[in-house]
Amino acid sequence: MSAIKDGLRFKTAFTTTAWVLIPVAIGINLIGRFFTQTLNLPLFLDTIGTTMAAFLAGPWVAAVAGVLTNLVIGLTLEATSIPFGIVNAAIGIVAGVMAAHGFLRSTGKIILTMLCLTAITIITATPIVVLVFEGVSGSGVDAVTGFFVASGQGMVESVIGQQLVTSPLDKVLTVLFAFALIKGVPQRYRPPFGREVIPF
Amino acid sequence: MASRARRVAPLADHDDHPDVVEADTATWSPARVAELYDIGNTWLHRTHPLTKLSAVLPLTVAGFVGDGAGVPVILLAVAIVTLVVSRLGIIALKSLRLMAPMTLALVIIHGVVRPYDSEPLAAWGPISVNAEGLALAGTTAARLAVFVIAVTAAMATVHPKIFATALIQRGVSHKLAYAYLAGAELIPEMRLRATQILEAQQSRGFDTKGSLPRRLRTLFALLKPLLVSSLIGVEMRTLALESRGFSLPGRRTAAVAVRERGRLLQRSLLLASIPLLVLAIIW
Repeated sequence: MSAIKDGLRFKTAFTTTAWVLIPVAIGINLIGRFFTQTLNLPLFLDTIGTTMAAFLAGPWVAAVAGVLTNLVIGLTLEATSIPFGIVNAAIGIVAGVMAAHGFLRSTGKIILTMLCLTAITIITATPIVVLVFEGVSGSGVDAVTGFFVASGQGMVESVIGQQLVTSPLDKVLTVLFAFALIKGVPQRYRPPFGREVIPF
Repeated sequence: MASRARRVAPLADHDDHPDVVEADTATWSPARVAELYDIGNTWLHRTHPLTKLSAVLPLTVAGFVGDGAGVPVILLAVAIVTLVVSRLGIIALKSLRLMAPMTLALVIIHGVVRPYDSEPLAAWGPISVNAEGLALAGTTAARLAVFVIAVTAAMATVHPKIFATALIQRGVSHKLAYAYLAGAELIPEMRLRATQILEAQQSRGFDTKGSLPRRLRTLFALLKPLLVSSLIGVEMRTLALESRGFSLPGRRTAAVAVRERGRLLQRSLLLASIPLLVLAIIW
């Protein structure tokens, strides 16, 4: 259990393996996004890497991976993704804390993790979309926001409605992919935190 | 490749490390960062990376001064003209291309779809165009465009390695700088690997255009080899970094030194954001 305690403490969480895991998480976040665009899927899947980092190294490492993902993408490809670093970090913290408290050990608890990640996405993304971007994101999900706006809903309600439509499937798949892919990696290749939170 | 890399050199400190700069830049693999960085030698390329980054904050805040689109549109026009005159028109084009889908969404949602009490400019059945909505869409798009063009101009004219070195020289942890740099360098690499896996799986008959469940199955098949191999590689990279003293305490020396200058200007730019913020709130 000491690996879990280390992962939960900011001072001990950042081992060399954790620092190596961060760029890998950034790359995986980007790849999820790339494949969903290539396959024309109505999803983002741009937090798989952050979720994996949370399951493998804990909440703080995942939060740094989340913020850096949006910073790297924002500073090199799309400046508009910078504000969403907060969402990515929040997802990492919640996923890491839940993993550390045994929420990956049964199907029911995994479903609860998916629900919590959906909730934290809606709570953190809605103010950014409304206050910074006036309700739009420049992606296909704007059509859903447009539908709610046209039906007479306010901007906040429309963005929440859009998030409620698009986020659950996105977060369910994110957790499933992260979990299944970690399970596909032999135990000895997983960092100690990951070995303890997914002990099979 | 080496000649392209050498053109990066003016930013580095020739006086102190002339040989090291040349030797190191030849191994920077410009192809890997080609899509992230526009190689050149303009005044913007020669400006200290942190000076450019410091300018983003006051410019963005200034875009929020005033009620309408006046201030952000003027800022945007000045930025585009400056970039074009500096032969960096490609950066302006890149920024505007990034803003195009967002602007379109803003115009449709606020100008066309959103219902208003005021008289519409034009109406065709259930569709109406509203002046109030178009003004809001225009103002928001212009403000966002100022931010996007400022960030793109600042970062597209600095090699990620020089940016990371500048951060370390100012006291940012070398571990954090490593994570940023490795992440930035991974972007083109991961894209390339993703394309290769996609093509390999397609050649084996994977359906990328079927129903949603089928495409999701395809997605898992595409992600699995890439992600599992990335995770297995973590242990190897950890050992490589450890053998180079990654976790040892103390300051690091850099193979490339970025000339230390513009501190006062950087502080002034950051401080200028405060009165601009006050102005944006009260006006």
